[in-house]
Amino acid sequence: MSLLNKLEILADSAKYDVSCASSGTKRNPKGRLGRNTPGGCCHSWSSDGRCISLLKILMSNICIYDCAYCVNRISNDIPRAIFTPDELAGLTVNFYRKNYIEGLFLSSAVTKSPDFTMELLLQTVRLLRKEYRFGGYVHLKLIPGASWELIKEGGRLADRVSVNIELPTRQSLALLAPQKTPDSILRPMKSVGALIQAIRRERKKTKKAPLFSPAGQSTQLIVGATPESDRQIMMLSESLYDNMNLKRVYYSAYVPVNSGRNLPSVSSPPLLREHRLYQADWLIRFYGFSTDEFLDEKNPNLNTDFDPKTDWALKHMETFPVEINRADYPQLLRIPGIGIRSAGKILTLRKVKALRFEDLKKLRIVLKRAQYFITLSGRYFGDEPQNAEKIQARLRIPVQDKKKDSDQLDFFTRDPNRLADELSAITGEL
Amino acid sequence: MSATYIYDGTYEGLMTCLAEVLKKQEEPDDIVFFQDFTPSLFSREVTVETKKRKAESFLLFVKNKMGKDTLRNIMKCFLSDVPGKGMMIYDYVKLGIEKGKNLDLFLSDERVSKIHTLSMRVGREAHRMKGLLRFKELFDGVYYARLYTDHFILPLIAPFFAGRLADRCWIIHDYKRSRAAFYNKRAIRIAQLERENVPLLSSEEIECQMLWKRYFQKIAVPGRYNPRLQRQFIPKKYWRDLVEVEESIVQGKRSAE
Repeated sequence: MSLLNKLEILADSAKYDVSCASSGTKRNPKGRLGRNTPGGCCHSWSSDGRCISLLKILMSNICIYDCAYCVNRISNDIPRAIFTPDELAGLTVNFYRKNYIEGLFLSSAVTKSPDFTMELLLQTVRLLRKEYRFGGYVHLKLIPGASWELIKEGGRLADRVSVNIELPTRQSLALLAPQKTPDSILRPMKSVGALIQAIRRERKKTKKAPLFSPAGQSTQLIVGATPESDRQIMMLSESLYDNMNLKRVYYSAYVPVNSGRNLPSVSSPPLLREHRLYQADWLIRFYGFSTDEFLDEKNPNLNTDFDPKTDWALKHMETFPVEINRADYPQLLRIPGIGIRSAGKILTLRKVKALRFEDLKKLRIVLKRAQYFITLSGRYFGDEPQNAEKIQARLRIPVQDKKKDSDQLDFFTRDPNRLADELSAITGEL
Repeated sequence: MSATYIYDGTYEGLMTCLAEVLKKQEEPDDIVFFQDFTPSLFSREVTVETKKRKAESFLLFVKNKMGKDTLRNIMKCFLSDVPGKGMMIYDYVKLGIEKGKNLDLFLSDERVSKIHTLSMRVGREAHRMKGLLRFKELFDGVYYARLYTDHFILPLIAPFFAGRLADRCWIIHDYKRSRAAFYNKRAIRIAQLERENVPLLSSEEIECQMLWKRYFQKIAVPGRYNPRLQRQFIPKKYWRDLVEVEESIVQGKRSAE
């Protein structure tokens, strides 16, 4: 089989993985190939609008498992292929030199056994790092069930490692991926998380300590294949951030690729729901919120009409208006429409003067939402009184744009006013 | 009668010019690169001769008085390609003499915000090109990339690529300005390079492009097709030198119809 054929098959099989980040590490070997910058770098955007930063590819799509949701399950009749480590390392280096990519995101179906597969992945990364002296980014998927020795070596070679949880509860996992157990997924995540932290402490003392997955670990959850609520999903994410020291949790709107009696029938992926989950995720990681502030048993799902911060604010009008000239950073961040950048600008300008309404405009802070939640030196500038229902009516998306799940794709593609929302799905800023 | 000051287009030239103008008490009419100069009946013209020492001591003055960030902003604005940048930098530095280290905190003052916006635009284009630049392998093993940018960003991206592609000789050609950065595995040199010099590709190059194009098509999820979002991220003006995009966008359109 030609390299081109393999590339086609194994890229096609890899495309449902969401993560593509190349950020979080700094490697800069002198006179060799490649360097990493902490900010990461996007090289292209595919026709679904997703960024391409890494060569996202499977080592092999020959799988011994039969997970209901997965395109590569053993019972599917699809073309199968497997790279040799030489082919894949060579391809990565070629693409990298041409500046098509920032590095490699290597994953695989489970071929023969977890250890066999993990060893193949490692051979590829070893070649890259040792033969090609490749200093670019490597995100390595850990294969659940592989031995701890192999996983450890993976962490030493890669910039980031990940294990995909995919299904957020034990029940769903049993239903759709009966050959995987929660334990086989969570155990390596836990050990890797502990090791990342230990090495970080070590490296604070001496820079000679070997790197171990310096950009942390991440995971991915499928949204909409099983009946979990947003609250269940966010609680899981929150505990992963808190207890396992995860860098990122990715959410992937379920795209039906198979049919099966245990699978839901959906006509298009729940993109709006995925988008709201990313926003909520951002609130937890950067805005100082916790899940139970905006989701509880009575309201287990995120509001589709408003972003979660606006939704929270409308339910907590007693905390507003916030005085722009006095509020501290965490308070500023809770104002709908004011994100990390705007809050930073406000604090900067406040060092030299008291802000007036015109100043906010000059700082290019979007006041469409913020105007109802702030005062400047005691003055309120909103074009509606401070009343939750009136503000809600003002901020609500016009009726013709409000479409339910089945039409979400249209909702995203047609209305130009939604673009800001769309971009925030990538940046997560609110 | 006030005057229009003309410099030679170099960074040192502009700095010499600013140093001399700021020493005088009268406001200049304009500060321009000689190629952009159009004579006016109402303004005296003064051609400022570039003095390296003077420029350096002026830069040091700015650095000590206003800080490193200010210096970096001025440099990025100099690299921008917008009319009136000479006067914008003049206004900014003049305010800086008054405000000192606090200069960059006055975000709502136009003299500061204009510079910040411009400096950000230049920085953003440089960052964007770190991703969108495409090297092609030439018949002699040299790597060649062409770009067509709004601003003159070669000085900002060349050191980055010297670290990234350290083990190859390469050329980054600013096609719009007929300038190029040359790297010989040791040092970077920026010099003139005319557009006529279109190089021959190596035979492996075509094969590599083929692989990349196919990968690019396969990695998109059809159920999430969203070309408008794609175009938002890659503005049309950058398509011409992008190996993968144009073709697939055209094809994408066809399959959507």
